[in-house]
Amino acid sequence: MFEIEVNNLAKYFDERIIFENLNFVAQKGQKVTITGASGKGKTTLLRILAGIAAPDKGSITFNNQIFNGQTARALRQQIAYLPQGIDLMVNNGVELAQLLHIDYKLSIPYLEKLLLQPSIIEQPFAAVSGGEKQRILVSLILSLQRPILLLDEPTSALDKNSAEKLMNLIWSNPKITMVSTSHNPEWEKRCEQVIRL
Amino acid sequence: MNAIQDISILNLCLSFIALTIPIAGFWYFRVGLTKATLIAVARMVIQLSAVALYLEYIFEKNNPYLNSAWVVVMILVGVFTTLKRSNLNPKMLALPLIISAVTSIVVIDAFFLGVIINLPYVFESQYFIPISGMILGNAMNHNIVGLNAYFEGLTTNQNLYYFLLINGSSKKQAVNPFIVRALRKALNPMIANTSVMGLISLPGMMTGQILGGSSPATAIRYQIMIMLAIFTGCSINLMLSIILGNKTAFDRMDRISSLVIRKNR
Repeated sequence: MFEIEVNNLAKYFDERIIFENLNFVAQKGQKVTITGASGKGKTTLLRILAGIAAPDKGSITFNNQIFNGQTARALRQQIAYLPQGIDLMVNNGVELAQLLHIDYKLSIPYLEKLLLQPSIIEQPFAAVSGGEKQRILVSLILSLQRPILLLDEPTSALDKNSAEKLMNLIWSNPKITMVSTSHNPEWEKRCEQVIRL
Repeated sequence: MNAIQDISILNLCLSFIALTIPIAGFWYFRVGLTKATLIAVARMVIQLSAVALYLEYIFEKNNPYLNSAWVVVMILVGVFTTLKRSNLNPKMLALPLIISAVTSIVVIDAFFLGVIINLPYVFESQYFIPISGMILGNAMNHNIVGLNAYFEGLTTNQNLYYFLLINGSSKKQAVNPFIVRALRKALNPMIANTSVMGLISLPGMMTGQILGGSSPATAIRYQIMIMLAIFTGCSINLMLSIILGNKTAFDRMDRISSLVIRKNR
């Protein structure tokens, strides 16, 4: 299990302060969400946590291990990440599973729990809806069986029922530490900690 | 075989009359390429005339240092043209591209000139300069397509790269789909061209050799060899450019540098 600590994090775009002096700890197994109006830096914060955006100040630690060039590769092998705006320019879920070096069949139990037919993994992304695509991606990253989840607006394209199923799936595993961004009040209610930007 | 029929300067000047046909077409369709065409042709004439004088000197001296210096000049011009045409940052990528070009030339020339043609003297200007030039010229064209496809793909489709990277792939694994696309885009036309060689395209080297008095059998043997040399040289150069470029175009966290593509297009 992993604890994620954010220390004095700051991010500026030109002269604009996106956030400053940001501190929080996502304890082992805790589910945390970041909320705030659009443009407040929720996705940027998640990208910093994933190490693909650089903070202007501060640091991130995972189990007291600082996230930097030396530790990035090993720590990323503990992370499953769902980006926002999921146009990945691949044909379908099977191709994406190959690129992730996993057997796509591992995602089938997750697809079923998210109310999808297993065969949808083979359908072209161009032929499925945004909500279906989001659930396919969630199923694939959950198949990675990682102890840390970083989810950017995971329910943005889902109806109430599918969102409920996704929440049940994630909250059923107390060993997963999750940091997410969300505008969904139900999601926010379920999280043990809410960070407002 | 007859000796080659020389072209007089007057007749060469007359050959420019042929240009009036495409230029008339450009004018008719309002293509706006007339000025660019005239500048390009003027540059070609000046460059080739200068090169002819220089090559005459180089061929006469046949000095390994002078010959190598000429190949180095070709490498540098090729690398900086590639960087300019593919909008890539020279500060980040010039050195990887120079190393790739030098490596591919050393490997190809050593094998094809030293082993296959079995020259007693690999730096023989008659072989070393034109064959290196053909490889570098082709490599430049394929590198422009391949490197542009690779780095543009990585920067415009960062979602896929970062999705794979954050979900535990190594940088090498995460860039692989982009390398595959770039190599296919750059090398597919050459594979297609190779497959129809002799049917719908008569290769330049073979034509030149036949015009120069060689027998078709010898010309074809040289052509097959040069096609293999070009394909191998271009492939080595492009793959090595990508591999070495990956060392400088990413930071320590494996993030793509925003400076790798030049903004001022």
